[in-house]
Amino acid sequence: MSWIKTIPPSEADAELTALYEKVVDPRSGQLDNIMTVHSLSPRGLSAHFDLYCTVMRGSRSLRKVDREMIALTVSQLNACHY
Amino acid sequence: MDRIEADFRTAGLEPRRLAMLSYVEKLTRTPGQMKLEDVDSLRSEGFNDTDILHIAEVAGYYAYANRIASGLGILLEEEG
Repeated sequence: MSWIKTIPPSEADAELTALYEKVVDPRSGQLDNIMTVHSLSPRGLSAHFDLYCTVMRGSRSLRKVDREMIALTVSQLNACHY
Repeated sequence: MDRIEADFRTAGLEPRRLAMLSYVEKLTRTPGQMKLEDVDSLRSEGFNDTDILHIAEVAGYYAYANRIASGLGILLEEEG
């Protein structure tokens, strides 16, 4: 899943459990690896999730599809397949 | 070194989106070379300052997320 230790939900303390419940993908019911990788630092997990939600929310003049095109382009240029 | 390509240039995009992705390409490849003219090229396609802010935020966010994923060896989840 990653090169560093991640804490599975079964071993998460109350704080991390609450965060996992907050960040679970509602469509798939899955925890994304880009979130659980932060498990050793819950504040980072929470901050990342909030940043993601803020940045990727569509607006009238920059719709979600435009934001996703930017995401795809940047990720291609960074050779990131995640 | 091979140049990593982003394939938006051959996707037949309208000028507005082409300008948006050209801006994020330059920002991603050569962030130290950005100039006022790059922002003005977005303005000339009708993006306002809030749009431009959001474009930079999304590009900046993915610079962060890509490095987290690549630096820590994150693989895409198995489809459930």
